[in-house]
Amino acid sequence: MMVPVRCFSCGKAIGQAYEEFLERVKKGEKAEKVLDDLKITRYCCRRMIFSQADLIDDFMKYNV
Amino acid sequence: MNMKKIAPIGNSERFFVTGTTPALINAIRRISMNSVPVLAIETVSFYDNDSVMFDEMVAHRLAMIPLKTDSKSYKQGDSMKLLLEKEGPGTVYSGDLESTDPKIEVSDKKIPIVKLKKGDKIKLEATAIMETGREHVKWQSAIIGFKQTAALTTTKDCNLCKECIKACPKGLIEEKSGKIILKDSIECTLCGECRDVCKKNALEILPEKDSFVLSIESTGSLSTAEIIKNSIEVLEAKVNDFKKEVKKLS
Repeated sequence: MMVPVRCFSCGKAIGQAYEEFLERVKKGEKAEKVLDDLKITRYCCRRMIFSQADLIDDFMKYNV
Repeated sequence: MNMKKIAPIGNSERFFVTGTTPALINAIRRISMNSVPVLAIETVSFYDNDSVMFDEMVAHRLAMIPLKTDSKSYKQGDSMKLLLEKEGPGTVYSGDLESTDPKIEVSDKKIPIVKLKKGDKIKLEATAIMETGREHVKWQSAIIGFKQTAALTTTKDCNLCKECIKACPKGLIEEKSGKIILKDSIECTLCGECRDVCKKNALEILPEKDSFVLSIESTGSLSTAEIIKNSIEVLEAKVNDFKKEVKKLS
């Protein structure tokens, strides 16, 4: 629904990186570079960020 | 035993440790993962939650947030309270959590917890307790690992064909005054590509028995120095306990 707070595999807190990642990738920066910049180095943590699809906005449309 | 700080990778601090055994390094590794107590939210009482997320989901997200822990004034089993109150529209961040103890705060203020529509309210009281990673990963103090460094040897059969230099994926092998040497034994991952490509079977690459690279990345609750210090204290307590039992036997 929203980006997980921690990496499923190693337990590093990664939730805080998601909003900045989205913003910078939308501006045209390379995803690979942004992740390096955010100090997300292991591939377990990297997949948490770039495979995330936030669905909470869709849920919010139907909530009464 | 000798310990030297080397270049970090991302947020992981790395140390070059020599003159010890894998058993000791591994003991430190295991203890810092599952026996060093830190604070994490355990129970949450909801007064209001109009968001699309169920109370349980919000509580789970809150629990995963690392809290900066003062390991001097908090011991295993101690608890403290945090409060959260916010009205939409907007995103609720970990920074909105109000701690009742000024020494304790969230390690990162930008972790999103839940999104609220206009008029939605969230109000809750959370209790954080001091526990260990053995109970749940939210109490894990560090992401920690170690590896042995590499040592490269060549025999007389080496004809300096330089195949190994081309094969090394990290470009760490070079020729120096008629000999094949390893430039950096710390960065070598011991993949063995250089050994496999050698047609003369003249090259061997093996882990060194007594030198290690220890990498520690704090989850945010304690500093790296505190993690090592606290895990040594836990190990000491365990050994002393064992000693007492042995004394009873004699």
